[in-house]
Amino acid sequence: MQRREFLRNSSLTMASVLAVPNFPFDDKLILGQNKKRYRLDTAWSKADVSRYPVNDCHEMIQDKKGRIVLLTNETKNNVLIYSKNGKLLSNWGTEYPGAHGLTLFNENGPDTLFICDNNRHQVIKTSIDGKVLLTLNYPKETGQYSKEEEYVPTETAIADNGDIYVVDGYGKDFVIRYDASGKYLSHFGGKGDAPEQLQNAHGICIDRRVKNKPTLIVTSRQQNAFKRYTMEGAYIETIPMTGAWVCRPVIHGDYLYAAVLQTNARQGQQSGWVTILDKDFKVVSNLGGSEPEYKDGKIQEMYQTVKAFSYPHDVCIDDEENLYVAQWNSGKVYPYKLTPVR
Amino acid sequence: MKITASLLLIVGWLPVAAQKVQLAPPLVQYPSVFFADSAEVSMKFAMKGASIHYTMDESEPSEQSPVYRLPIKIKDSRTTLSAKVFAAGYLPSDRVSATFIADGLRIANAEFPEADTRFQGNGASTLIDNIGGIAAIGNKSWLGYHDDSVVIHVQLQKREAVSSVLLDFLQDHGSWVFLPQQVTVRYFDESTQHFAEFGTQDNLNQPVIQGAGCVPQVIDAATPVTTNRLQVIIKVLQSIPDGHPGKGTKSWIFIDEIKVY
Repeated sequence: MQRREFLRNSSLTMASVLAVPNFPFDDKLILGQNKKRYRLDTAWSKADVSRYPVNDCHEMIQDKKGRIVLLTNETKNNVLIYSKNGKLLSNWGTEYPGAHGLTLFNENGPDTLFICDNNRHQVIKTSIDGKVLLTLNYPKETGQYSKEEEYVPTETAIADNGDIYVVDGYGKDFVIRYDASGKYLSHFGGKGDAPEQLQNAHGICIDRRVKNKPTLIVTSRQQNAFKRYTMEGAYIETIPMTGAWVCRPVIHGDYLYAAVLQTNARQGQQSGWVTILDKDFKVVSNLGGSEPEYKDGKIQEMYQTVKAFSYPHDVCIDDEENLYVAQWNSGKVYPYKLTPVR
Repeated sequence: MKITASLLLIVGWLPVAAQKVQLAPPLVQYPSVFFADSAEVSMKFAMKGASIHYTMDESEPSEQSPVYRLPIKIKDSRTTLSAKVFAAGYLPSDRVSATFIADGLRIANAEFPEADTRFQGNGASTLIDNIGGIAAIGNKSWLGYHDDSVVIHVQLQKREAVSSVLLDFLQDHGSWVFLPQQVTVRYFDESTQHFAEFGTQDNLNQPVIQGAGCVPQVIDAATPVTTNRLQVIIKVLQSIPDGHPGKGTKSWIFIDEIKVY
C-alpha cells in the first residue's frame, strides 16, 4: 500500500508512521466470537529479522507443499517462504519495490504466483521459485489510461480456466479481465458512486462455494463493503461491512475471511482487526473487533475492541484452519498466527 | 526457553512488565456536537465482560465513574463527555472525549470564501447549520482551506451585545491540518461606521500530536460590544513545526461551525 495515497484518504498520524506495536503480549489471548474463536501467537515467525527484514507485510498464501508464502515490499527479500511452524525455509525477490498483491494459481501442475506491483504498475506471474513467466503492463486496451502511472494494481484472482482478473485498487478501480495468456478481454467497475462502481477496489477473489456457479467478490474499501459480480462483470449485490476498511476477501471452506485495515470511526489510529463471514455473507466473528450485531437484517457499525493488531492487511488460512495475519505499517512486524479454539 | 525470550523482549521493549493487551476506545455516536436545546450521545462497545465508564466534568474516567447504559442527554453548553473502557485481563482503553456546544445568538448568515474542491462543506449555511464536531477529515461538514488566510463575514439577526465568538476547527496533524496561527475578530461599530478590534487568539506553539480531534476556539472581547456584523480573519499556519514531515510548509485549516455569544 502506498503511504502517500493513504494520507489522501484518511488521517494517518505521526505516531502510526513510527508505529511500535504493543507486543509481545499475552499469548493466551483468545479473539473472536461464536464458533470462530482463535488463540493469538505473535511470535510465530522464527526468522532472524537482522538477516531477513520485512517492511510492509502485504499478503500471504499457502502453496501446494503446505508452505506459507509471504509477500513484502522489502526488496532485500520480497518473498519469504515459511513452514507452518514459522521456520523460514527460503526467500527470493529483489525486483518488486511495490509488491502488494499475491495470489496462488495451480495449473494442474506446478504452483504459480501472481504479484501486483504498485510501483512498477504491473502484474507479474512467476513460478513458486520466482522465475518470471508473464508480465502484464497497464491496460491500454480499456481506453481508460493514458499512462502507466494511472494504473496501480492491487490484487488478482484467477478463474478455473486461467482467466486473470486484476483490480486497479489504487488507480481507477477497474476490474480488468484477461485470458490465461494475458490477452485483454474486458473491464468493468471503475471509480464512482453507482452501485456497480468501486472506491479503492483493494482486493478480489473467486467465490466457488455455490457449485458450478462461481462469482466474483471485489472489495470497495473506501465504502466499507464487498461487491459481488458475475464472472462476466455484471453487478449482483453489495455486502455492507459498515465501519470496516476491509482488505481482500479470502475464501476457505464455507467462510469468507478478511483483514480489516482500520476502524472507520478511528482512522489513522492502528484500529484494525480480522473479520469472518459465513456463506450467507453474515459476519459471525471479529477477531479484535466488536461482536457482530444485526438490526432488521442490517449490520451495525463495527469497530476495533482489542488492540491485538495495528493495520492488518491480509489473512491466510491454511489446511488446518489456522490463520496468518500480515500487517502494513505496523512496526515491520512479521505475521502473527492464530489457531482455532474448539 | 520461550518464556525467557519473551521476558527479555518485554524488558527491552516496554517499561511495564505486564503482558496484557490494551482495549480500544468505545465508539461514541452523536449526530453533531452542536445543539439548540439538547444533544444526545450514545456509546458502544460490544465485547463480553467490558464496561464503559464516563465523566461529564473533564475528569479522567475510572472504574469508579458511572457505567454507561443508556444514551446521555446533554443540555449545558461546553459539556465535555469523556469515556474509557475497562475489562478484567486487559489494559484500559485510551480516553475519548467530545465537547458539546449550545446555540448562542441568532446568526442570519456566515459568508465564507470558496473552499478547496474536496472539502466544500454542506452548502451556504455550513457554518451555522448546527452540524459538525466529527473529527474525521472526510466528513462532509468541514470546509478545508490551504490559503494564507480565510475571512468569514458574520451577520447576526439583530444588533445586540456580543462577548465571544466560537470557531470549531479540526486538528489532524497526520493530514497536515493544524490550528490557525492566529484568529482575529473585528466587529462593526455603528458609531464610527468602521470595523474595530474585538479580540485575537494566537496558536503560536503547536506541538505535533497524534490523532484527530475537534478544537473549539473561543475569542473573547475585552469588553462586550453591541453590533450585528463580525469579521473573522483566520491566518493559516505558514510554517509547520519540527517533528512533522511537512516541516516549514504551509498547513491546512478546517472549520465547520461558528457560534456567537
